[in-house]
Amino acid sequence: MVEAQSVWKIYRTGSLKVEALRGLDLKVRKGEMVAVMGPSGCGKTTLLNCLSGLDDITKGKVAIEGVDLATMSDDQKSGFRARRMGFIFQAYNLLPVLSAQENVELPLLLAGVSEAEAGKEALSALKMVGLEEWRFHKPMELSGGQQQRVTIARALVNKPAIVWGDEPTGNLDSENSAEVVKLLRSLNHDYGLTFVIVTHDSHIAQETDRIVSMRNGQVEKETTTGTKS
Amino acid sequence: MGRWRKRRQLEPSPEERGNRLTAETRSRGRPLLLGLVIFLSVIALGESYALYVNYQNDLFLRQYVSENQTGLLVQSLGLLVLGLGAAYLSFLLSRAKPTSRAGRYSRKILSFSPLIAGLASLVLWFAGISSIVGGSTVDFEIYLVTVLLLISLGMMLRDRLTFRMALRNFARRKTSMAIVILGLMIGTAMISGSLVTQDTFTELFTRGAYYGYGFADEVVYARNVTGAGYLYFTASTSQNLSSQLTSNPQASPFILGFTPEILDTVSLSDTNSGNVQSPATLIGTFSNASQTLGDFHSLGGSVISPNFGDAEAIINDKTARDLNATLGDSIVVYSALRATLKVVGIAASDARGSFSGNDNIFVGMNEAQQLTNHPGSVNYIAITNTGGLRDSIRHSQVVGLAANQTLNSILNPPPAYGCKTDLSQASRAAATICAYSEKQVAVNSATTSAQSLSSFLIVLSTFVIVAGIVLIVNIFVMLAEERKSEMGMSRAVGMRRGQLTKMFLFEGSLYSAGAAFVGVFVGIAIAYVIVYIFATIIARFFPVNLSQVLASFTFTPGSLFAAFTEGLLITYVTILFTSWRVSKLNIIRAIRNIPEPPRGVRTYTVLSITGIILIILGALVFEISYGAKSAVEALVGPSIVIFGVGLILSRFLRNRYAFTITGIALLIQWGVPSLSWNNPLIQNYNFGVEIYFAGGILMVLGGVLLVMYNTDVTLKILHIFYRGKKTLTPIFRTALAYPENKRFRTAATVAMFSLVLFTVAAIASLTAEQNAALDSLVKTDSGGYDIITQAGVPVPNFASMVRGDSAFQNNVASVIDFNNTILLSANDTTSHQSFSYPLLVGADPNALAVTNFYLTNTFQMVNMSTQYKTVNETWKAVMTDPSKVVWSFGAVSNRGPPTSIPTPNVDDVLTLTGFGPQHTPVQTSVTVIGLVNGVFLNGIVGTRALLMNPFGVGTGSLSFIKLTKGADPTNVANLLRKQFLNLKLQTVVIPVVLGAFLQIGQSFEGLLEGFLGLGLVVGIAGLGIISIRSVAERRQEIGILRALGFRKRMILAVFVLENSYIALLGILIGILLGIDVGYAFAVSPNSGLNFVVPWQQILEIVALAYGLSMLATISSARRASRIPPAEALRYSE
Repeated sequence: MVEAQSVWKIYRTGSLKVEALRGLDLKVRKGEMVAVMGPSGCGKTTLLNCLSGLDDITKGKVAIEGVDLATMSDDQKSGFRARRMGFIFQAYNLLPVLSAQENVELPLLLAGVSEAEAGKEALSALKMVGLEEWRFHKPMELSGGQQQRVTIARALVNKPAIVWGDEPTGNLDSENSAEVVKLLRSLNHDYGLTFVIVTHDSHIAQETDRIVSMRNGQVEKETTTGTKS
Repeated sequence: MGRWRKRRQLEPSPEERGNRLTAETRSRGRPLLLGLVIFLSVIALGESYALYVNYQNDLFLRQYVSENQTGLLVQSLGLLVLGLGAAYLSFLLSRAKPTSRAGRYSRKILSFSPLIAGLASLVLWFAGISSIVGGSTVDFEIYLVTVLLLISLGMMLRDRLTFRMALRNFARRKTSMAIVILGLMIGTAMISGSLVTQDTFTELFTRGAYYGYGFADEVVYARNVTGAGYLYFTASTSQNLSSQLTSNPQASPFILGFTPEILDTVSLSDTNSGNVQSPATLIGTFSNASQTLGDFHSLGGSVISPNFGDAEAIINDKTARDLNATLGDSIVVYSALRATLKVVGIAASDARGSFSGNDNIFVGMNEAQQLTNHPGSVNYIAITNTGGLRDSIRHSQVVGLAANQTLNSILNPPPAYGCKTDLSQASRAAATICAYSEKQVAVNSATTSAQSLSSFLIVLSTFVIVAGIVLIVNIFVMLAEERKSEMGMSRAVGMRRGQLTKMFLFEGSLYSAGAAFVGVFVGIAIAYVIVYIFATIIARFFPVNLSQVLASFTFTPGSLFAAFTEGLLITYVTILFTSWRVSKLNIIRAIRNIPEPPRGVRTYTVLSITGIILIILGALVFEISYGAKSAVEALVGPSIVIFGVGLILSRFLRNRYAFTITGIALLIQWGVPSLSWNNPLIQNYNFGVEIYFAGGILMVLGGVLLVMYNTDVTLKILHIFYRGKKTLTPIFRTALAYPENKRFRTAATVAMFSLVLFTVAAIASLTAEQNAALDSLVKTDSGGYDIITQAGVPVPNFASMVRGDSAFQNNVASVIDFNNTILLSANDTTSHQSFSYPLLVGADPNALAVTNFYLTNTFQMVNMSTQYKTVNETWKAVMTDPSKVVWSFGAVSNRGPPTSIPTPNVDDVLTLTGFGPQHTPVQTSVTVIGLVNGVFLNGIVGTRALLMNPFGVGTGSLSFIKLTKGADPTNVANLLRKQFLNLKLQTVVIPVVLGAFLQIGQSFEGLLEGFLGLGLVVGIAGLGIISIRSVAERRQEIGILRALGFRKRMILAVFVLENSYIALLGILIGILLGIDVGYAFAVSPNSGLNFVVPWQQILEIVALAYGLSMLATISSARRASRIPPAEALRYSE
């Protein structure tokens, strides 16, 4: 599904050079739920950004579903993200000016789905995360857990091939965190969605199929958890 | 254990540390305080010594002290007690511990010290300073700004930390700073432009007045009741006046000399070029006139000798141009007699050559007396004061009144008709030779005209100034939003709310000072452009030298300073209020960037009480309008009531419904002409251009309220554009959600655009309507006639002279003669108005139809007595009853709504006073049965019978001529002047003059449109700031949009669309309301206009405004689209 070969990401600021990723190799199979862990500054979020095409790599190769990201233009990558990827961020990153339903509809509209169809699909996605009654509320009127569930609904509504999560439970309390992880796991089991989740939380990591530990821009080790998808 | 205890003891407690700090602060303050005390003591000692010396030398002071000893002692003791008490209190408060009650009170008083200082300054101004430095508005503004600057400086020095933060914030983002200054400076620029324009026009207009009178500071004459020329009197009268006045102790120090003259209206014909000029002014003087009136100068600058003989003349350059005359030419002069004179000099139009401002021909006194057939007589005396050309008018009042006293004593007129000898006397018509300070009046009138024009420009600029105020509020609210979390952090670590307010205030002061400074100089450039365009317009219609007009361009330091202070004050006061408002924040909500909760019931209760107060206020304002007969108050009062009702409704209904109703009510009140501009209630009220300002502001406010509280309706309409279009849907959805979310910001920007576009569209509509109605306006204003003639001598039967001349057989259809006289006065006994020297005209009521003025004229009868049903009936009543008259006011129809011109009212009774057959004053009463717009005819229209009885006038000099179809009025007018040279005819070619007048008006309206269009800078600056701010605020959101699949160009489209929505909303509201005002102009009574929408011009305005807005925002939008997604996602403000 996702293949990274000798990926380097170097940031240059004036004379300063920071090697965020240093010759990293990683493979993620279809339907797999992978956690990426490591200390702060080890390159987890950078890895996520590079694998999803949000950021360009300096050296190496990243391919998703066999397609090398380097061969895509910016527009093609945007289109690819709209159709084949979902994102769940720590800070929810919902558009504050749109209602919950409108936020969820957005990926569908970007993928070319009609407004009526997008409305139906969005409602169905919100039902799935238990927020159907809150669909007309703006993000500021929702709790943290509710906002994250809307984010999940948005990430899943266009039935992506892969869902990227960057600390999806980072801003949640333990109860909400557990609920979100349970939801993600059930989506992975029921729909076979591929998840790559960056997290500090070992409880979440334990729920995944595999844990990739990073240090200093490289994969230090990979551990299979034994939790079957 | 012991060591630990010892260590503990060594460390001071926080309270001890605080107290130590207070002590340290106090000890630093002591030397300063000591120095201040010594300074004040030295001043006090010096004052006391000066008072003592004064007492020794001033008898009156010693007398006063001895008469008022007790009172003075009591006052001194009281002052001592007050001073000691204040000093002791200050001592106590300064010693108080910070945490004690006294300490807290002293800190509170200290925090109010800027306000106390401000109030004390105001008290000082009204108590004494104004009487020392002058109490004019400009002086007050300068004083206010100085006080504000000193207080601000004091605050900055006292709170250096806050000032340093403000300074760094000011310089934080240079692009934003530049845009803010650009937006704020335009208000000052327009004030500066208006005042510099005033300076230039004052110079230009007064130059005409100074040169028009030259060194004739006071002029002595008596009007000829036929209206043409002056009465003659013996030269001995002039000598008497001269000898008696030079021994008058009050006036003689200021008098340089007396110049007896003959002034007569003549016709000229150059035998060499064949050209004719009529009218021209014949000026006859003795050869020594140059000693007082100055020399003639040739165009090259050399002096022309004043010693020319009989049969010789000097002409001015205007005459030379019109006659195409050169030195040595022979000119035939047509006065009472005719003579041929040789041109021995062509004088430049300076103080001597330009006298009267007309075509002038200067001859010797002998020649003049012969030509006018008045040997041994003069009809005009010029009195020259000391002080040169300009300063001499300072003495005009003293010399003029003294001259009149002398003339009254020489000529002994009837008391009620003597010359005015006291300033307290009302101006009145005199039946004898009197002295008039006409040069001073002309200069004052010119200055007033320039000031009126400048005031008009400033009133129009007020729209832009208000837009500028909205911009300031918008900017500071956005700055507060941007810095919300850092403000919250500052408060959390101990910054007081007052310091936050001060931080914004200091920053705002820097913006306002910078903006005002830049604005003053931009204003000079604006004024130059205005003057240039004005000169170009005038030069198209009048023989005016463009470079001469431009040479008058000037500005005074006073005007620049006034513009600077006004701009600074407006900006500063707005910033003061806004700073106070934005510093009100909840610390936790600010740090965590959580929005403020919705307003509670308590807030709406306060608003309701405010609403009740507004309703009472509005009712009072409306009530006042009755007595003051003020249209502005009559219309603004109800608007205030509407606001009040809206606020009360907001307590019980949702804001949307309450303010939608308010908006609709305001739009109906001002948008329906019969309820506002054309309301019958205000037709007899006083109003000027300020009513359009008030109405415009309120209409725009109503429109913005209606639209902003119903944006969902707008969005639903816009949905039509992207429904079914898959690529556009996410763009539109995202773009249009943001303006709705930031309502205040959007509403403020929309309001800025609306205000400016409203004024531009209103003027464009008016101009288009006038253009479309040009032909019909000319036709209405001409009254059905083509030429007006005014002879220089009474002509018994001009009509038959014209009919008898074969040159006019095929081109003149009819000639209507008027008998006319200039009355001494017309007193309205009903309304108690008085009109001096009104013209009384009367035609033949028995003339045949085509030559009967009363039956053929088509002048607009704007009002008539209710006893007559038609205009025809009214004129017939005048024909048949000499006691009935129609009052004709002269106003060219170049504007829609009527403006105030003083006239009697219909059915008023007038007492007419004029000279009778024995040249003594006689009176008669008449009733005004109609008001007509006679355009060039300004006076009382009766019949010949009224003129004959009691005034004994059986002849006249005024005629109206109607031409046959196809005849060229300009050619016929030229021919008339040529054929009747001996009559010294003036001609007015009505269609040409009216057309030129209307076109000049329209050209000026175009100039005004451009002037007001400068206000677009405010709207564009506002939009520019919003777009820069939006990109910063939404950086992370841009990242998520890119992550979701938005392409770069889609991000660009979102920002462009969002800014377009805001700009176009404002533009459309402004345009629609402006067109509505155009409609009001068209349907106003007697406007003569038809409603026309200038589509092409409107589209051009929209395109320009929108295009400029996009230019201002495109770079921000492009920057937004280029942000890499990963970088955007990492960003936090």
